[in-house]
Amino acid sequence: MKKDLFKFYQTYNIYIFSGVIFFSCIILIVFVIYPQITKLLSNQKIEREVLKRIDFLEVKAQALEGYQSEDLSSKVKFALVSYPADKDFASIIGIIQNLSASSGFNIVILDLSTSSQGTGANLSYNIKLEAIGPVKRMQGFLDNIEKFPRLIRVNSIQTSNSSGDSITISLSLDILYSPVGEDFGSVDSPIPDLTEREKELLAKLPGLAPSLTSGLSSTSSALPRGKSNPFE
Amino acid sequence: MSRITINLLPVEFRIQELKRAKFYKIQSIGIAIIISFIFISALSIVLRILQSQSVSEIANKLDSQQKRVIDLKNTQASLILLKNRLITIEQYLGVSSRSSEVYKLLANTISPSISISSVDVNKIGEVTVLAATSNIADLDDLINKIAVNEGNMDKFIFLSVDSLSRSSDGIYRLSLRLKAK
Repeated sequence: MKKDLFKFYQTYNIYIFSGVIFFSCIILIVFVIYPQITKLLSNQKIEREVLKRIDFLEVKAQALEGYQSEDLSSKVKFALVSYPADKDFASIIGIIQNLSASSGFNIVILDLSTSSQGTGANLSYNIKLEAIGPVKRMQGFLDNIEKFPRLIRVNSIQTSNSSGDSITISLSLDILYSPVGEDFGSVDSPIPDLTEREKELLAKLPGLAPSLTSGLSSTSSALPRGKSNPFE
Repeated sequence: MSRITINLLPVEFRIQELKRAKFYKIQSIGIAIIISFIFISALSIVLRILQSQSVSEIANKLDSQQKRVIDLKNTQASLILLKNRLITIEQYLGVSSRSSEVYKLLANTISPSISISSVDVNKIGEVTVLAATSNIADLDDLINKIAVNEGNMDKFIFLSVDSLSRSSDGIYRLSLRLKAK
């Protein structure tokens, strides 16, 4: 048996040796070289993507670190004063009183609705205002309402002439508000860019906003409160 | 004098020697090939090991950058909130509503000689006006201004005179319905 094998090997040693070499190479290619090289190439691609993500996160972190937290908080505060997250019944009454008084109108009826209108994040509640004032100042009153930093929309207007220069107006006002959402972006979401117009508006808001907080304090001096001495 | 060589080896032995030489040649080529392949395999494994080290360094760097951004999540939240608010504030602040615009348009169109008893402007710009004047030409002028005047023709899409009456005291009373564009 052994002799036969040895004779067989001696006769076909070239072919046997070539075959062994060939199959060894195939095994090396299939089990070592090919898997390693494909893994190398795929990891290179992943590495490139990860490096890109690292660059993005670095730029984002630098941009976020560039914002002063106190300055940003005050800007957010002004924006929330102008467009609050919830119904602000107390302050809106003062604002409406102040606006009416500064436009020369006396409030007769102020009717607040507690129900909300609107869809999604853009909500509003309604105020019905009835006031008497000079006809000539009606447009100015509407302008004052719409230019006031607290967002108020004039829904409908009804006027009737009381006498001469005096007019009775009935305004339906939508007071806008928007609840704060829960989605504030993820680590990979880009930070929002403020447009030039938004930056200008942001610069203007702090100048306009004091009138929002002063609305309540100036009201008392603007409207007549009756006799100073009720016993006279 | 030239040398004479006589090969006394048998033919089979010579053939065997030639075959052996050929085998040695193939053997050396085969060994060279297998060594090259082993070298390539070893190289690919070493490269993978180096790459995995680099990948773990990059992963650490990614973690630290992510942590840096997560630490600033309040700033991001404030910015997003601010942006959302500013979009709406910009849309509405100082911008007249439809009813307000229509009222102002009407107020600028109606001449002072006409006394307006009442004006009703709704949300979609539909207007009802009750006017009175002692001069019919003023009412005529008002309707012309609204319906015929080139400057106003494209502002109102609907005009209806609901009623026109003259009382015994000579006062003309007009009820108009308008709809602005």
